[in-house]
Amino acid sequence: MKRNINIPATVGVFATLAALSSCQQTDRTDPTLCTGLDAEFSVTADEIEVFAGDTITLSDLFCDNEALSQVRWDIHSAEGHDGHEDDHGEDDEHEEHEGEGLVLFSGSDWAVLESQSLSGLEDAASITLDIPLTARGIWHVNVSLVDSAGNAEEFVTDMHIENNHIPEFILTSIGGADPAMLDDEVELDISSLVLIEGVVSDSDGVALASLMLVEEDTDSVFWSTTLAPAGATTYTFSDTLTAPAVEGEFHMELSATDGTGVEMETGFRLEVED
Amino acid sequence: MSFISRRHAFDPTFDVPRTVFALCVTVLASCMGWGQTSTAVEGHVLQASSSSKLPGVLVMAWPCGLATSTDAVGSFRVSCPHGIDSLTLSCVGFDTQVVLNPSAHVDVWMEELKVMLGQAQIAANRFSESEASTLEEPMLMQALDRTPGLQSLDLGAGMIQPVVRGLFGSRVAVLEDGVPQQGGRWGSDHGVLLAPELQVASAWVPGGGHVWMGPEAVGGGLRFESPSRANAPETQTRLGMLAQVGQFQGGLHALHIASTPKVHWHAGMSVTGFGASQVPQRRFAYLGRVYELETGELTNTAGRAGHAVLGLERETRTGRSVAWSMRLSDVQQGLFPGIVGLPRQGDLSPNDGLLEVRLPNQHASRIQSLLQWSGPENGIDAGWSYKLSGSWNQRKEYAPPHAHGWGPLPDSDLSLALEEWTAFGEARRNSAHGAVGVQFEGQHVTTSGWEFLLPSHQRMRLSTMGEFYVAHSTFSGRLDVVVAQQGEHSEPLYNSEGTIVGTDVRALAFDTLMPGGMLSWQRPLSWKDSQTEGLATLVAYGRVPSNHEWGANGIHHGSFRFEQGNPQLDTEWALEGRLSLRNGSRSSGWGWKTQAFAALHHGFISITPSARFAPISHAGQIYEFRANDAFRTGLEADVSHKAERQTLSVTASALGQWDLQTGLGLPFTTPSQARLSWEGRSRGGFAVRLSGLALAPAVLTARNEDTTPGALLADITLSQTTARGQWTLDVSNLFNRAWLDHTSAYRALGLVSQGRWVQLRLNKTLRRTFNTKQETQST
Repeated sequence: MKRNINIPATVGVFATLAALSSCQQTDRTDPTLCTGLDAEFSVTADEIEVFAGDTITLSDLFCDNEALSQVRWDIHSAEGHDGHEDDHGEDDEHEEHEGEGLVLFSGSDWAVLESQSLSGLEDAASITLDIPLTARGIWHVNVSLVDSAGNAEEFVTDMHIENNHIPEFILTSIGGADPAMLDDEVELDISSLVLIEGVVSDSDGVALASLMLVEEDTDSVFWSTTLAPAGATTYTFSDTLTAPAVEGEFHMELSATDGTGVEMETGFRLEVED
Repeated sequence: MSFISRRHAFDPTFDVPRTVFALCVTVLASCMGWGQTSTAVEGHVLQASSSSKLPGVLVMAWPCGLATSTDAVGSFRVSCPHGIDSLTLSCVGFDTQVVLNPSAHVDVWMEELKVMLGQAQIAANRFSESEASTLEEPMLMQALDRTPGLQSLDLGAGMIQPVVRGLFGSRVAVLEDGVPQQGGRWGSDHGVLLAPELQVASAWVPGGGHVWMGPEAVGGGLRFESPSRANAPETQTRLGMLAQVGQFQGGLHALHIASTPKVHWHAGMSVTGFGASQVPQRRFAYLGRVYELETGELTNTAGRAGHAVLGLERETRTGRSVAWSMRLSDVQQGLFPGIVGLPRQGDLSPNDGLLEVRLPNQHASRIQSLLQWSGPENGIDAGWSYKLSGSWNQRKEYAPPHAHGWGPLPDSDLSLALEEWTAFGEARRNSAHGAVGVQFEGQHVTTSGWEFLLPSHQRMRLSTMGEFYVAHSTFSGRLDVVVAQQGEHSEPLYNSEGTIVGTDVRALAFDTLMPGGMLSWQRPLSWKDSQTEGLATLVAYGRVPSNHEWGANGIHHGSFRFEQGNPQLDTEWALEGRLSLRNGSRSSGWGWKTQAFAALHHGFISITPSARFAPISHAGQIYEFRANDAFRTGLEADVSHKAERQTLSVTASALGQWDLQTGLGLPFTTPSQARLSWEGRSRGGFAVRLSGLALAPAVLTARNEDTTPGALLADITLSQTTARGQWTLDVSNLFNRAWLDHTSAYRALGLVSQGRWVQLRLNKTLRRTFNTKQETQST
């Protein structure tokens, strides 16, 4: 008997079978949120308003068409980046931050990262946060979900932390510019004269306050001034610094201590350019 | 009228019993000395210096004068109806050979010509693989991007990361003078340190399971050749200069080659500086954070590269050839801050200097030495050739300590260091009917730094292989044994307050011994009365996982992902069929060439999103190396029309890669693309080439991988070649279109590829032939 093996045809059939077997259904649906819209302490809220010292619990309900696997709560200061992506991959938060201008953060190293297991088609999860007394500013709440197939989705909102415990700096002018119109980083011309105006306040009175310009690479202090609030609850200051004569990255550190000894540090970045 | 076919006629039905019978008869006939009076002669033609097979050699049988040419494996069969009294074998670049009173089977070694004919470079560069295609473009990046089936990932200069049929990294073999370039072969930011401008030949080989390329060639491989007596038989000095604007780059290279029939040496050096990549975006997102770019500069991606080569070769009194060469490479390059930890917005401000490199950055160095020798034409070690290579490869990544994430700040900027010592050895015996050999590879890798990616590890491969030319087919096999081990690693797990909350076990010690190998069958194809010819290949091969796939467990900056290896991974096996066909003259008129493949992979290891998040603050979802069955298929085609003054060509490629468990695509599957080019040439050596590239949308995607829109791009190249040299002006992405390269890791950040750049190159070759001492200049 003569056996004819048609190699090209055999390979073709094999390839077709393989291609057909690859057409099976697979789960490509991302897990999602089932929490009702605009719940107060949920990632669905437009913004979560809290005070330093509060204890809050964020709760959400999650859903998936096949099986949920994990949720990750990532709460971090908005300092150091511009915004976050929304759940459609667009960074709508950016414009909102632009409207706020230069935000002075305090206690921005406070962050929470926790992963929790989920199961089933629908599961609830929550996380309890003790807002530290040192925190002030905007924090991002990123809630990441992954299902058992590995499909991932992320939901985000902002948490605005007000603080009545620590002294507060409000800048009214930096080199003649309104800080509300500035970005996260202030740009100065080398050797230029920069007028810094603002207010430092605390309900217990401000005992000590100072401004200090530090070079980021070397941590050396380039310029500093000590204010004299003398226990006033509101102290208006105005001082002029001469910008460094070399280009570089600097950090303006603002610190204050209230009448009960509570300390506060905040600041912002400056780039000195030619 | 009796008729003798120009080639062995191709019968599309493959008759196994008849083939086996013919094989037996052939073997018996050669053993018993039959066929002395046959009217047909068959045999093989090989290159004398390397014993590699020579395709395309014209074989004429006398007295009838009928001719044939050798096929892809260098074999021929010719006949005269009333007997053959002599054969004449001729090939451009080789001495013509005459064989008197041939027996039924004749093997002929062709000697390379050692003189220069005019300005033509006559030395032939032959590679071990019949499927190898020479890369013709002078610049490797352009050669990769303009060859269907190939792509390059732009790593600046001095490093290459070729993408072959959608695969890259440790799935693409890169060999320099036959030595696999080990070390640092993972991800898209870890290219191979190479200096193509100091090489004289390069080729790509499609597909997996090549006997001499080692087990890493799954997508395929690239071969580079340094100058030698065989491929650069004349004394010459090659000089080159490159200047590029748009994405700044400037470079110089010089390579001197001194060759006589007995002695050769070469020395060369190249230096390149390159500026930051340019992107049209001003914003990107990473781990849910949005960052701004102040300018169109992809911050801190400039760098500089330097290479030096030195080689010596001589023929000893006993006829042995002994060669030694070494290469030193050093590349320092900034790393985009967005790929190392969580950047601060301030980290993304543009660099002040054009070539400034600041944190984070990487410094890669390589020193490689190769000793080669081969036996004389006669003697106990005739036909044997040997390679022994050693290299030291170091890669250091530096990053600001704040990129480390939580816990105490590191006291150093050294985030990741890999020091790799590698060795490679090969002994190979070539004969007219095949080749046998053994290969050895060893790798000792030490890792350190505060950003753990993979543990220190050792790896050794021992392979024995052979290929045999039987009945117009080539049968090849290789058996690999890989021994590997890795150390353990754990570190404290911190929370945001810097308190230790657990132990993060990143690696467990293990050692393993695992087999691999390949078996292949190749058959040249030709049709009666047709200019169409080709090659069919069927190959089964197994690749042992890389140590990265076994042991990685950390953030891989090249992929922006937390990658997790799996020590349980086993050898991945594949069955692959390949077909290549070509038709038409290479010099004028219409011609076409196409090659296709289909591969079934059992346990194909690919990076797969897991259902878990990384336990550290500066990483997201864990991506695991998993063994998934996969099917891959693809096609590359080239149709061209060549005339005296112009060439019109269309090239295209299509690729499909599926995970068979899910039906989804494999990550980074290259989208289909087609390039239309027209080149016009004048008598004065002036040429202009216009080309347009159409990239289809990348819709075959893996889980969590976004689709990539299609794009239309245009390039223009002006050049002039004269006796004084050659200048070339290349304008890439003529209309400065913003487009996303689907295979680029930056796509994960939504950052598109570079914009328009204009490159000017000047090249000059000063030649001096050894026999006349008459200096000439040419390109």
